[in-house]
Amino acid sequence: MSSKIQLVLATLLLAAGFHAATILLFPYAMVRAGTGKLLDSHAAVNQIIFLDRITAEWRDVVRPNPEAAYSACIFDVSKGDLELFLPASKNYASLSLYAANSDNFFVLNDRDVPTEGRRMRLQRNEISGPAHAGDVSLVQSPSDTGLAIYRTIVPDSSEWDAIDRWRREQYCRPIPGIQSFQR
Amino acid sequence: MNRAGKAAASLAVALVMGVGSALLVIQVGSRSLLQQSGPWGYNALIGSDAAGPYLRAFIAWVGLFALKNSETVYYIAYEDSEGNALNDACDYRVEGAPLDARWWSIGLYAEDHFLLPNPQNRYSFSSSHLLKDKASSFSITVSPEPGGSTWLPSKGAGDFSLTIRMYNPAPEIVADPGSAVLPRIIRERCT
Repeated sequence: MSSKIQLVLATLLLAAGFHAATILLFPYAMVRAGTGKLLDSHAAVNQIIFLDRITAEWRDVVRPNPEAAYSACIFDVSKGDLELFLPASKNYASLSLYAANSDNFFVLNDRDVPTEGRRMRLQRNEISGPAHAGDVSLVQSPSDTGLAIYRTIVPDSSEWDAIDRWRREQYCRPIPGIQSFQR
Repeated sequence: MNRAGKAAASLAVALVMGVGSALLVIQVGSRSLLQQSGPWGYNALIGSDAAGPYLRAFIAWVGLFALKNSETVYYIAYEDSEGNALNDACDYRVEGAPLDARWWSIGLYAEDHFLLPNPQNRYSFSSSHLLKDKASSFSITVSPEPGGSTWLPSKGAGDFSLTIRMYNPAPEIVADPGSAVLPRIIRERCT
């Protein structure tokens, strides 16, 4: 085989490698970009952020639902577990968890939330037993970092203030002194 | 050119080809990963860990942090019911029957996938609004100019897309999003 053909084949092989790497890494990059914007404009990791009403000026993440009240929590469970809480709601409300590669690995919505609300423990370690401890649901994150999104439908803009007050009960916070919950 | 020079050139060409083709596929080619129901594209694996790398990359581009299918089913239309690209040079009527979900909405997004700025701050209509009087059908006007009580402004959008969100859809739709009866997008007038 001539050296020219070898060079062309090597170039094509390398190009295929760069192509595959870009496709695989793209969701991670988009998640980092989206959460990075949230961090720049709001708060710290493992802390809930109550976003303002969504308008066209909000450009942190593509294709937002303008009829939802969003809260978010950029999480890092590499050093310990997190406790998250979704209060009961009469409107559609959910807490969804996204891995570093953007997969939506868990969703809880208001239909499965008792009147006292639902507490969850998010951890990195594998859960070998039942996925709950008492009234606390246990959820394993497939990655150290990710994003929790709380969505609540605002059926009418006149209800925004009431829903905004209600959602202040949501939380996302480290569990002090607990490295990781084992069963 | 010496050997090192050839290797560097090969690497540079491979980088441009590999990354460039990937970004092109994500932004344009991956639309083919959507199945069609009339003008509405969908994929039951959106948000799921069963999504393939191309679908995952495409969704990261057009709808990052989408919910998985069992929670919310999404449909995206880039074209009207006749197959013409949606564009703000035309008026459209989006009409249909109530969708089979607990809550649903139809929203307009600019070509960059963000909400389209407009003085009315009106970006979507939902079942909360459209079915207030227990209506058995609905009609939304998409137009650059004002057009009634269910007018969705498109001025300045250029090519745009419409998105249906169905929160807590009926089980049949979760099982097969293609079974949903979706609204028609009728082009009415172009300037």
